[in-house]
Amino acid sequence: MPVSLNYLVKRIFWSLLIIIGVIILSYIIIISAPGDPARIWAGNPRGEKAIYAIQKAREELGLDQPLPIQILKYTLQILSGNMGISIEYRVPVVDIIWRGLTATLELLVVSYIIGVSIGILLGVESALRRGSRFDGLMQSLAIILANAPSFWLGIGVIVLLAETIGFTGYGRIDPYIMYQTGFHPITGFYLLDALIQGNFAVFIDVFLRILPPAIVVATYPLGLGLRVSRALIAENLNEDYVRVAVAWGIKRKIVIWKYAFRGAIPSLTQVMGLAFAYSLIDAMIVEVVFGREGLGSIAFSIIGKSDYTLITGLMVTVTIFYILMNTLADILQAIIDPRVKL
Amino acid sequence: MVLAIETENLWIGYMDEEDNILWVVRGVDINVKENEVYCLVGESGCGKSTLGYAIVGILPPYATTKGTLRIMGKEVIVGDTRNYVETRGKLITLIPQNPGKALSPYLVISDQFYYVLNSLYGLDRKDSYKKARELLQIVGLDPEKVLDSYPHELSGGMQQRTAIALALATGAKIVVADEPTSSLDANLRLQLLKLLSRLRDEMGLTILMITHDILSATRICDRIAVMYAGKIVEEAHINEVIEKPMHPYTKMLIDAVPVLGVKKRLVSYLGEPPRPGEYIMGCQFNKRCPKAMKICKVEEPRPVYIGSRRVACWLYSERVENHE
Repeated sequence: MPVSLNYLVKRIFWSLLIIIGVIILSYIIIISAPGDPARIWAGNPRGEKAIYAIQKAREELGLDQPLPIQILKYTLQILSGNMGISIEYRVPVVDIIWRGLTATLELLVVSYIIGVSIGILLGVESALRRGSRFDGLMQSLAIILANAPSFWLGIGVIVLLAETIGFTGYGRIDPYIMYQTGFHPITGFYLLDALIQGNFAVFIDVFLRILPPAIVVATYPLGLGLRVSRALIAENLNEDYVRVAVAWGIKRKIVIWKYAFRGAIPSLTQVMGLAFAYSLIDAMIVEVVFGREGLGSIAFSIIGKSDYTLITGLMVTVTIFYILMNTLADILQAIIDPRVKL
Repeated sequence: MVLAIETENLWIGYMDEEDNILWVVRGVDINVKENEVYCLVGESGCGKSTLGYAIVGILPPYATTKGTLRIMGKEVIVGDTRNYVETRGKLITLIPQNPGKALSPYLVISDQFYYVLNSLYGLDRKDSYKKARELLQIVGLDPEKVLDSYPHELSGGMQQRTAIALALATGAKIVVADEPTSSLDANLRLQLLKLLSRLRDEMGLTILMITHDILSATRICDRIAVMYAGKIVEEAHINEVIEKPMHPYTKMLIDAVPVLGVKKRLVSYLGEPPRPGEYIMGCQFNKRCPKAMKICKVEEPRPVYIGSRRVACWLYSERVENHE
């Protein structure tokens, strides 16, 4: 195993520090923002005695204590694995976030499969035809795709689909089909659940609905994958070991994929791994545009509502996701590149 | 008799961004016989590596060619068309300059043998493993230590031998060795040269060695061709060249290296060889040449044949007398 215990311990230690920092910062920002969580917790009371109800709610939430103590308590609580109860929805934050996370990840994974595979294929082809018109076209396409704002693209896709085929893929699943076929989510990844239950009607519905937003989210990894793989492979084609492989009469296909592309995989994994975390934000925005449930929709619905437990929970979740993806990208690179040891 | 490598007025150039062609090899005629060790010697930038790339078939796509190149009588370059099908690996193979870079860092050695043997002969993994074992033993390596290693786990000398074994795995009888000694230290250099000459005898190889190290060349070569600014300025048997270099540039190369047991002053001439595309009028060497004459600045000398030697210098041309 190319990953040492020392590396993992160090990584976990630093990750913990970052998470604690994020908890403290987001707590301070949300608490000092306008709005009163205690009022919402008390159920927006009106009348003369409202002030007592709010005071009671404040004590229940521990918001009457000095800020440093609040922060300390809250941090310890989250580190012990308890994210608390949502002020707005009055259910455990973990449940809400888990439901949203699976929905968002499903979209993200589908987008990534589309984006990375097409991006890399075009990138390799582009690198092999350096300087051709195809190459020039791909270069421009990559820049446009990687930089087009996804919410704008999302609206464009919805308008386009509505005008042409009258189906926009709004929402995550058709509740009617879901109810009729008796579909029950198990893992929360609907595509997977539908396959497990052998429910093809739901699978097709979910797939058709995930496709338009997935294509929108896929533009970024597609453009980036195209550019990065083209650059890396064009560079590798000039490497001695690729040229020597050609001179030794190794088949073109093997030279391209087992030599030139193989050499690009470690860096490509690194870049695409980081971009995966970035694309999470994209997916969160696009799912709001397409009316899907997910982390983005949760954030969108509670951002003005002083729901400090849910917001902090969301921020911690996204942070952990980033850290996990970074670490995973590093570890993957070490596994793929025999010269790298962590 | 079929010549192993034969070029006729071969020109090779690279296109720059404005589509100007910078000629790097300018009208080279060489013929390498079978089972011969032929050396191309020259300073860096003289076009010897480009010539080597053209012969093994790894010119970049922006290269252009003129003239003819034949390998074992098969026309590989005719004008600007290049066809290396059935040549790369089958007839001709390459011993790379820097073995550390020439072996793929992501593949264990046995896989690299597999891809070569599978591409050329369709061998499966088991057979290629067996063949790789034989080849590694021939070049004096312990197959058990090498086959399952990645290149970076081997020492420089082992990498070089592995690269040679891989080059031989192609089964090609013509070997282009591109500066095989330049990245090795002195004792490995000698070992390598001995290995190459042993392989030549045992396997009947034809070797085209490209080097800037004229001393290494003397140890192994039969014939030597000295290149300057894309042209061959002198070609002769190695002993003749060492004993009595004819072209002033050859003399300069020999004067610049120490020879063991011979006490001499090392001399180096000032100046640099012209860069591709910046050729000067007359003989390209005239600015550095201590014997430069008037005509050298006006007209490029044509090769003159003296016995089995060939030299392109006005000093040996009859036309000079008429001219002066």
